[in-house]
Amino acid sequence: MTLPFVFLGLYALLLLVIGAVAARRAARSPEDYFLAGSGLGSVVLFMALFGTNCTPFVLVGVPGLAYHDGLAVFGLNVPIVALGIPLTFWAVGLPARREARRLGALTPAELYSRLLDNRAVGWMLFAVFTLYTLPYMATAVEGGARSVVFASDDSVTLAWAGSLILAVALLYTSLGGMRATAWTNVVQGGLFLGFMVAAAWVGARSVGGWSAVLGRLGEIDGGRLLTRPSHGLYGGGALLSWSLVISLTVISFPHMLVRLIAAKSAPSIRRVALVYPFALVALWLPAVLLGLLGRDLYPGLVGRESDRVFALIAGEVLPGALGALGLVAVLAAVMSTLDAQLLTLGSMLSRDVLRPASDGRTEVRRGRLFGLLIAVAVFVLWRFVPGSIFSQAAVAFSGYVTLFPLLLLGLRWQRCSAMGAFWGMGLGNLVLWWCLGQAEGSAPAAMTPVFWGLLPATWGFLAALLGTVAGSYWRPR
Amino acid sequence: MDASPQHGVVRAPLLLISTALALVAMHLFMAPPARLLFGVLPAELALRLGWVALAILWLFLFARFVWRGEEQADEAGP
Repeated sequence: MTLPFVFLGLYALLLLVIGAVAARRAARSPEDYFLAGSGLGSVVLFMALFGTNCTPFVLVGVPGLAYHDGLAVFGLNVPIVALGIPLTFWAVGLPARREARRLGALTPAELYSRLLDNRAVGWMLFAVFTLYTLPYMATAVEGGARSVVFASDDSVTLAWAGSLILAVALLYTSLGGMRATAWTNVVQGGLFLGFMVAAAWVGARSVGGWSAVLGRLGEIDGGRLLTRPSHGLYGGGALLSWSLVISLTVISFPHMLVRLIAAKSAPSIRRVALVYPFALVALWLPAVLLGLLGRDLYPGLVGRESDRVFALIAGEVLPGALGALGLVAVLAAVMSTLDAQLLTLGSMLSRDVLRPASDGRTEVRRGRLFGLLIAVAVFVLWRFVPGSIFSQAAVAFSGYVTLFPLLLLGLRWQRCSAMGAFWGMGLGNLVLWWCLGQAEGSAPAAMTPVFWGLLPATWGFLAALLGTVAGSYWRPR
Repeated sequence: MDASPQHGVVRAPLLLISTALALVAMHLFMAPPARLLFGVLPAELALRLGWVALAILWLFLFARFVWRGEEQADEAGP
């Protein structure tokens, strides 16, 4: 039990040191604090985006899913995001960076409110971003805290573990702003990516190598785990809907979009987009293979019990030091997303809900204070709001997709107007939540096809697209 | 859609058509070469890795012929 916590202590210390170093350059102006001086070069930008994009879901949830559904989990996600995510970097990220520079905008909500010349657009965007981001943050804290409690054999309480995760993330984020979160993402992304590759390789070697593992799995249920099923998300309209959701949702995260706005140059975005598919394969393939290894070693896990596969392999199969790094890898994935969310929601509260302060240092102080407020709100939501609220996190990805038509058309269609923005966001979310209410069955509502075999997210997206176009034709920019 | 070169969407039809063709090609043509290339892997994984390879190839072509054009138009100004 000791070694994981030694690594954890060293990891937290390293993050705080990076935060302190970044702080020496961060407190000069709001642009320095919120956007790292708009100077993220290709390598840091790539790691910042990749670290922010990858959550504990990939490390813990994907092996759990692959345990039941097999290799098909890889095909369900990776090919389409390998194409879709880089394409959205071009479609939205590239013009967002250009227009943010032109208009002096530091947050996504500020960019669209200035672009469409209406402050209420920024308020509404902030409200929708917050609606979907807070529960998402709370579930990330929950996942990280549970990993700490599990590794400590219950000697650390859930509340303490969650508080510490939030406190460390908040501290280095407040110290160095986006520069600190981007630099720490380099460490965090390297940690969890390196761990996953090493774990899949070393883990399989300890039981005879991948050929032996896949050979044994091929004999289960006629090789079902090595082929693609046609049920659920793996076929028909549900597959199309899922592809749409996972391709378009990532650029719609405010904490991803703001990092593209902070890119040093337009070519750096292009270079990042070209490397992104390789990194996705490097992370997802080991995650799926770990799930298969878990199925081989620990048969009989039922339902969500399969989420324990990651911890079981780290604790029982991998050699001491590598296994101990598993806990750090999970927390790296948690915090690399959490820090960006704290900073982005705090900056929007500071600049979009309130008017930007006239003095730069006051603006930065306000950003730090609002980051603290967001962290407290996440803690309260996590600890004191009934569990059913967390089911909102499952619909967060679907919710973000309803923003995509506005994010794209606002930048690429000169007719797109504030009226279109209101109609798009309003109609999209109305239809999404109505469809979620229509979903029946044991699967989460966001994953249940409702009409014509399509997921609620597709209907929300189509409604948002219709609303944005209709509103913009009715009252153009 | 705005058709000004600096917004880069004059190439939108080309982009849509080539994306659709790339997706069809992924589905129809990648299985046999993927199995040849990754003969030691299960067919499902080999096929999906073939899809990823085609996606990467398409992205490189897109970056070369569309994306860089938009960057250059940006630099030239409105």
